[in-house]
Amino acid sequence: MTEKPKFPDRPSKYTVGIAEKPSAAKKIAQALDDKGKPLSGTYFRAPYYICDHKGEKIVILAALGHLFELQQEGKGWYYPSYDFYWSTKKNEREEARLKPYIDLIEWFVPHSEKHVVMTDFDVEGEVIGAVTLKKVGGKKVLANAKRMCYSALTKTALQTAYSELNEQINHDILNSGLTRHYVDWLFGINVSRALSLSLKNITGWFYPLSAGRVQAPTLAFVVEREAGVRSFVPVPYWVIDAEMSFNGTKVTLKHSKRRIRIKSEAETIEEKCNSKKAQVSKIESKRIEDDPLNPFNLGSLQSEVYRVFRYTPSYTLSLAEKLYLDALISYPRTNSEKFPEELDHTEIITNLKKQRKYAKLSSLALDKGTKPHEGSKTDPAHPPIYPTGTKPDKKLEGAGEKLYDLIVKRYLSLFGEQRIREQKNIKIAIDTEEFKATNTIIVKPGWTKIYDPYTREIKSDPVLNVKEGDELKVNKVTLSDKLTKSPPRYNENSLLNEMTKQEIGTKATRAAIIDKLRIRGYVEEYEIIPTVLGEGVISLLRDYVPNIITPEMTRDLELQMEKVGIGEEKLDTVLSEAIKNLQKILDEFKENEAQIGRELQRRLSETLNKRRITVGTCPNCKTGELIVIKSRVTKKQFVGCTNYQKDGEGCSTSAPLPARSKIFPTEKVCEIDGFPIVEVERRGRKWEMCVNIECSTRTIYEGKNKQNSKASEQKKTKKSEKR
Amino acid sequence: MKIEEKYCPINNEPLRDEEFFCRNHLRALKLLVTTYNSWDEAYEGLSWEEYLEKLTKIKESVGIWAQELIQYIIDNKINYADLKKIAKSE
Repeated sequence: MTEKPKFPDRPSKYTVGIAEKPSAAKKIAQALDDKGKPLSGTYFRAPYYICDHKGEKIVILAALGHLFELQQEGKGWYYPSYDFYWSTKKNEREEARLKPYIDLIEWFVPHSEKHVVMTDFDVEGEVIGAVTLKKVGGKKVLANAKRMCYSALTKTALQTAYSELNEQINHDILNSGLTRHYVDWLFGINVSRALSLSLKNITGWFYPLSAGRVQAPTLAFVVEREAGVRSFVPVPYWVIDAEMSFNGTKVTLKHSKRRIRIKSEAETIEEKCNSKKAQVSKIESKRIEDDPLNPFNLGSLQSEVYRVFRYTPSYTLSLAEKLYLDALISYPRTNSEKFPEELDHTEIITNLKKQRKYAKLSSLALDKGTKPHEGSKTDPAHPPIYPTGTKPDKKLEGAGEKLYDLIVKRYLSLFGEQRIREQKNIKIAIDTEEFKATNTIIVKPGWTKIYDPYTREIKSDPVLNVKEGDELKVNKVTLSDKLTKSPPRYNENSLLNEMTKQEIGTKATRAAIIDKLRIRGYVEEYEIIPTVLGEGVISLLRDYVPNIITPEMTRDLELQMEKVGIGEEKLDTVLSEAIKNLQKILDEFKENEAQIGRELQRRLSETLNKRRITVGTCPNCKTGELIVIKSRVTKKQFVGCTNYQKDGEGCSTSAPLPARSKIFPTEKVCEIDGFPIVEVERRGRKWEMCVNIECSTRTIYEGKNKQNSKASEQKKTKKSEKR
Repeated sequence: MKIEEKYCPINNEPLRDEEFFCRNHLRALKLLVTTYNSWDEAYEGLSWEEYLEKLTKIKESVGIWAQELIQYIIDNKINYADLKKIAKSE
């Protein structure tokens, strides 16, 4: 029998610091320990570190993000429910995972002399630190707790932060964070219950539906855009292009009227221009000086990463957080585009120079001085995202490497010179009609030399070396029919930008809200297109509780919360105002419960039927159909027989399918066992397979896959050996 | 004009009040009616029927609700004046 781990010994006098995550706790402990080697151990899986720091013993413990969550006071699944308290998580697995962390904090906190909140320096960090200390140590401990403020997990930044501790946590920021938690809990729990209970009370169906303060208006954007696409009627227009040649160079120029709205007018122009000579009527040159792009904040990083690598905003955030925890970049959840004056850019660039890959670029940046280009946005808590200069412990790979490279190059490019380009606008006349060409020549690449290959390409027509009065030969004039296009559907990036523009949610939560729409089945799995259920929920909310889908109420609440953060508004006032708004919404739900319930039932069955993928007839019972069943949360999927629930003689045929892949029926049947064959699409690869896990053809397929991965492993090893 | 039951004649969506089409098809109808003016101007005289015919030839550029609506209008020979009234009445 294994022995239960014992609590570690407590030093006689010590300080307790609480970090947000285990990896952050380790970094902090290594930075603060005089020898860089703190005493470390684990209690179950929860790590602790004891360091000697200039004669002081500091015990550094980790949270795992939020160790506590808001729970309803009392039992029952009803609405309205306005009473809550902070408690350990009720999900059994989560509770078991978090318990050792809480136990360790309970073991050390009550006996320590000093308490320091070492969580990330932002609203959420303040809440995690404060709630943990208050739950474990009580109000007094929280009142006397010090705050360590840092923006990067590097040794210097952490040592400086510990030597300059704030006497208290920032109570205004804490209250702003608490208000957000309370308001989101109140709206999330009550509106979701109102929706689900409308369905259950009227139809007897239980299906967890949700609608939150930010989620509902976000879904409304998606539904509205889709309605724009589906009801779209195009308008015709015509464009005229003229192919001309000069000294052997052929160019196609566009008529100065880009869109000609009347057909006869377009035809007249075409006729007028055919078989005529063209002459350069005017050349206008201008020199354009482009400053480097602004430093990255979270929003611009997510946008740029989407443009360059097509990673979703939530994936970018998770990658950036990993780089931050490895002390490679500064804190990513920032709005700022301005660096603090005390940041030592020379040191960062000098350190980056030690990485072979960035040696040349760093020299190039250093040559131009150490004053970076900045944007206008500020964030009181954090600077823009920048590389710390720390060399990665091990070679970065895949998406992490790409993101790091982009961040380093953007940072170094801030020190680059302006890009200078010469733009020539050439006007060419055929009779009285005017055609245009724009030629752009890069005179000096400036900062783009550092930022490449990520610089956005500048569009330019083929270069025409002409001067005013030159004549060109007109080869042909083309008239083309065109139609206006429907508005583009949202992608993850444009939806996130819309949320930012409408000021709903926070930089830290927006990406997660989009993920939630997918988890709840409100938008399609691979595209931001509303499902029938998503449309139905919005249509109902629009009819019966319109306040919750308009961005105004959410925006107003955000503003109030920001005011709490700077001490201009009180938590209690904002909370009671929010409850007043919520009560109105819930009353409307109660009043219209019957209509809402029935309509939800209709929409839900339509969604579920639409989502049902039938891959073929069950070869065992011969009457049922094999359908794809998917977990909304884990994304695991399998095929099961529709006769599964038939009384007494249910068919238990089922087989797992590759997770996180699209499954398409093929109408083919396996020659060996009679099971249907499906087409699987995952990460850009497609293959066909028998759904039966025991089928020999499937073993062959899986064997092939294993062989492939083995071969790629061997290839990798060989490569690294070569190096 | 007679109101056909309480369902949208195109997709059987339940209707509220005195609507003729469901919310989605009504939205498409409003756009179809307003866009007609632009087409009429572009071709300097285009009948409503010619307009619909042109749209049926470029289906892939027309939204799905608008397509369904156009087909319904053609099949049921509903005239422009009536449609304008429906579009305006909501």
